[in-house]
Amino acid sequence: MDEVDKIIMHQLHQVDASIEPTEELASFTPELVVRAVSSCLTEIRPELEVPRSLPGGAMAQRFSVATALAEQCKESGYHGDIGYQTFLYPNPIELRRLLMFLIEQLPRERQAADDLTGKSHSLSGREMLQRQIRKKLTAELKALWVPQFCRAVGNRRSHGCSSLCIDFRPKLNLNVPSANAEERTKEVQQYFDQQAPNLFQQTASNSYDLIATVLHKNDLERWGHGLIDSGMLGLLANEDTVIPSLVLSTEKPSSTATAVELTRLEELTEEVQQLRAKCETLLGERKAHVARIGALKQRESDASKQLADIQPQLKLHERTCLVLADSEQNLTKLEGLLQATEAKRQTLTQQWQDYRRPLLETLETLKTAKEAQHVQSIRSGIEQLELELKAKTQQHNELNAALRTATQSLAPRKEYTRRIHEFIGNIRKQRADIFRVLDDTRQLQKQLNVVGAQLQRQFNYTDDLLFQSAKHDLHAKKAYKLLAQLHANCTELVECVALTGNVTKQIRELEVQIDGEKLKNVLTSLQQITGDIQKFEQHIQELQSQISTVENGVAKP
Amino acid sequence: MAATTTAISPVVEADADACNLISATVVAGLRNLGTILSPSITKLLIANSLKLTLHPDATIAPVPEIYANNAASAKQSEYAVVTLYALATKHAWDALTFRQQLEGLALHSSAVDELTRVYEDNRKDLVLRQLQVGHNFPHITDVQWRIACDVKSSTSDSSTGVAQFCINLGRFKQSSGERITIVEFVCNAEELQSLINRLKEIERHCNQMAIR
Repeated sequence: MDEVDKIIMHQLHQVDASIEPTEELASFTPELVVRAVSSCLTEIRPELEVPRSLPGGAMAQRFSVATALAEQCKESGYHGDIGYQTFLYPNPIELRRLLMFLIEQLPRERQAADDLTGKSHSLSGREMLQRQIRKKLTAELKALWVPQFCRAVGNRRSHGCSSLCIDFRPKLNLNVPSANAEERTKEVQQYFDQQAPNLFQQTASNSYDLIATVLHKNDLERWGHGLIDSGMLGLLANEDTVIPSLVLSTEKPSSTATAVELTRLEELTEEVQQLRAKCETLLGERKAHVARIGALKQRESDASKQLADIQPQLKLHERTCLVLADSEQNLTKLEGLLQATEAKRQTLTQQWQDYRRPLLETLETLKTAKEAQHVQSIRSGIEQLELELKAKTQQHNELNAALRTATQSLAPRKEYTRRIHEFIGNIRKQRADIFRVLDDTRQLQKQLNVVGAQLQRQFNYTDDLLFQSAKHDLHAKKAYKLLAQLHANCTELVECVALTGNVTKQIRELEVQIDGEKLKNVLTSLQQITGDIQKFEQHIQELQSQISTVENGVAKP
Repeated sequence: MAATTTAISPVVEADADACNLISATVVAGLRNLGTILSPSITKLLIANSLKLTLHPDATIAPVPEIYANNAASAKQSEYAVVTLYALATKHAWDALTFRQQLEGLALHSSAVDELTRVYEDNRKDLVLRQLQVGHNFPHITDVQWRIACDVKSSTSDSSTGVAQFCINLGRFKQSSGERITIVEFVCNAEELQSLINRLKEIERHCNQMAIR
């Protein structure tokens, strides 16, 4: 339980830092319980509004807060027994169950994050966004299906984006009378007055949107000149729908200008082609260079390997060269060194011998002692074994003698087994007899029952008959009386017979008991007991006489 | 002094805004209202323009009297009115700003009144109408399919017996109920299974995201 409490405390502290971990749940005050449960609930369902603390004074308020929390817990799926009493009069077992449930319900990613950082922290923007996405998805998954036609702009916030939006597709060449009426020629004015379709007719097609068209046109008129000046016309002109009004407003696009444009274009394309060719050659070169770099790298690695091999050799050579440079002096030095080491070696061997000798001696002594001990132990072992051998041979002789006597007494054994078999046979026979007798008895009992029942019925019937006729007839009355008497006498007789049977049974039992008692040698034991009693009496008398002599002895002086 | 400058500056800004936002053609078209076009025609024109703006797909009876005189101006004014409302909605002007903008353009007062009144009355509808305008990936709300099997081809008389699924994904138009095909493709059973598995994967992922 302590472990569980610790886990609960830890989690609660992470959910709400103001909850200080205490030793155990039993020491939780009602205020603390309310705080903990409400923190967990807000963490589980952030949209929920739960009372955060228990008001101090009025009992009614405390009660309502506790009841509200209990209901929220139930709504969160808690099935246990919960009510205001859980919060106002906390009981550690119930509280533990509730808090464990709530902690299990806590959102996982929060837990994971807590595990990582080990502390509660405010969520970052990204996490908030993820959480919002999750919430939205959950809501959409839970939402009822709404037909596509009912998902208009109005309820798009609750049902997600409507699929039925109007594409922003402007009609690029909208034809509307321009601002300066004076600039229009007569024919143009006439065209606009009579034949030109109005705005709505121009955008009536499904492929255009009115608002998109007018916004486009408006912006084009505001910024269009700038676009054309900065050479964007080429782009616009490339689109399959040409804007005549624009072309008109660019003012006299003369043929020379187009020629210049063309030559410019050619120049540019030529340049592009040149650049492309250059680019290709450069790419080829790059490839060759890359290959060369690879080969060079390979060579470099080989060389470094060789270098590593050669360097130790070089060192050795350098040293030998140094030694050889001044050979005589070095030779003398080396000889000196040699002698010094020789002397050192000799001293060391001397030391070694000094150490070794005593150790060898001790080893010898130990070895001899050990051997002697070993020999003695073997000797004692031999003696013991000899003793054992003697005992065993004696036992063997005894057993042989016993065996001989045993072989002589084999014949009576056969006799005994034969007699035992006989006994068993007799017993079987007797058992069969007993069963037969029992069967007979049962049969008799049955017959007796049958006869008794028959008699009873007969008597009842006769009794009835006589009783009926006794009401009218005097003789019958007498007969009825006699019958009653007869019946009473007969029952008496039957009882007598039963009693006699019982008595004989008891007699038999007593006889059996007597036989049993006889078998127990009561007489002899009785004689023994009386003998013992007499002995005791004798002893007591002796003691009394002794006592009296002693008393006399005491009284005399 | 400071007070006066602060009082004036929004108007100046509004003027500048209006000059920036509204093109010359629109201004010219708006100036026609109440001057070249009579007040009654103006009223009719504004109402008609609004109706056609709000219900682009509905069939609305034409109003020929607008174009009886000065058809070119009327056409220009129609364009101007529609543009004005579109811009006002786009920039979320309230009625006061709207009026200030119009007054900055030196329009006829009756036209200003009428335009402002209509804008004020229909602002919500205009916003709703413009909310629908935009670019979006096509939503698919309907699927049609058929199983096709070639019986005879130019190279062989006998059928290969290979069934193919012709699948058509599309949606219905909100206004007319007309079906629009968004994508149409042919696949065999295996490819179809793969597609279905992919879609199921999406669903699973969605569920996981929601639950986690």
